[in-house]
Amino acid sequence: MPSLVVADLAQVPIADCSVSADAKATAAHSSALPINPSQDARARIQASMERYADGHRDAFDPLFQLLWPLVREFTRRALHNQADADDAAQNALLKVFARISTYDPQRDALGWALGIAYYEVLTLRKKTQRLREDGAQALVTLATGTPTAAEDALLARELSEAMRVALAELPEGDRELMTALVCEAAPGSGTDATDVAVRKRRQRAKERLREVWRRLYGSF
Amino acid sequence: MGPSEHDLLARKARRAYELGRLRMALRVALIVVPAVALGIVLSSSSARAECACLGVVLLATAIGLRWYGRGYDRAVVPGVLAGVLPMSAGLVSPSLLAAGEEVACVVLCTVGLVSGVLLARYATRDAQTLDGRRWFVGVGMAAVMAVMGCLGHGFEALLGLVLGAVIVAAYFLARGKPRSLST
Repeated sequence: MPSLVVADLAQVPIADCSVSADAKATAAHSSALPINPSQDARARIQASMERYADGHRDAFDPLFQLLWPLVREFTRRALHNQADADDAAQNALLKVFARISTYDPQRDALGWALGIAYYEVLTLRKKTQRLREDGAQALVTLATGTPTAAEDALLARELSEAMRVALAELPEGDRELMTALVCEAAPGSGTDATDVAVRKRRQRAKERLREVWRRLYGSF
Repeated sequence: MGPSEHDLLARKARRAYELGRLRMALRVALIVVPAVALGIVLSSSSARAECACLGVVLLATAIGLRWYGRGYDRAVVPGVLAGVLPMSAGLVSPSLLAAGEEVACVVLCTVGLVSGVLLARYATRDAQTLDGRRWFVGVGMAAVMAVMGCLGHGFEALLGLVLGAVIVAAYFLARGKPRSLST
């Protein structure tokens, strides 16, 4: 049975998704991610997707139950971070269901769905990279205390100071979470439920930090 | 992910599906609205209000059927496109009357007949026998379009449309298996 890999998915054309060639190459190069369900599962996904695309609402439950674990597994292998993987999987699944009415039954249903998940992974990677390059640089500098280059020292100090002021505006719990995030020692590596709770708290803390930053300095 | 989050995601997925389906259904307006506008603009001033009412009904039905799906959605666009023929013929029928009442009647009937035949052939395109849902929806949409064109001028085009669709459908039903379009 042929296995589906990210390199194969790079060939899948998806509307509304523009990804640079280097991002595709990075993802394809990073690793081959075999998602290899049984032939029976693949056939059931195909049948359910065709029925649901045709407007049969009763096909939702079987399709959702079959698709969700596969999409989640796919993003988990691609991102190596459970929280990011869950976010990407949820976004991808919602996009799959939003576009199902335009699904072409001639295409492989699982490949189509994982193609959307693949682009979601790339989007998340790019977003994370951008965040690191922009605002997160200040957090890193604050945590490590060592600017990346000597000529950036002054800028780094200013950013550190600005971030210190912004962090001081946050509640104690949020401050701890953000510090833990920067040091990559985020708590909550236990059960799934704890992970989800920590992720949500961290997300809320990030949003509050962004709000404070915008209020103080205009843009993040 | 806990059960409640799983349920929440399922609800969101359902909502995303319905919204996506509605967006897809609304795109039919790109075809229906210009066709209806053409009918309203070209119809006689006394028939414009009725024409507009029929246009609204047609648009709502088209969107509803496209959203509902289950085979009813596929014939909406072909039905509207096929309906443009008898509607246009009906709209220009006052000019045809100058050539004689019989000529106008024959032209209108023929145009309607061609539309009906095309729709019935479309309804037998993929299925082994006549696809009743496609036939019914296609002929229904085209008939409303034909009525819009024929308001105040007589309903020969509508008659031709229905006649053509019924004859071809009856032929394929009696035959049991449709001929391929390529033959």
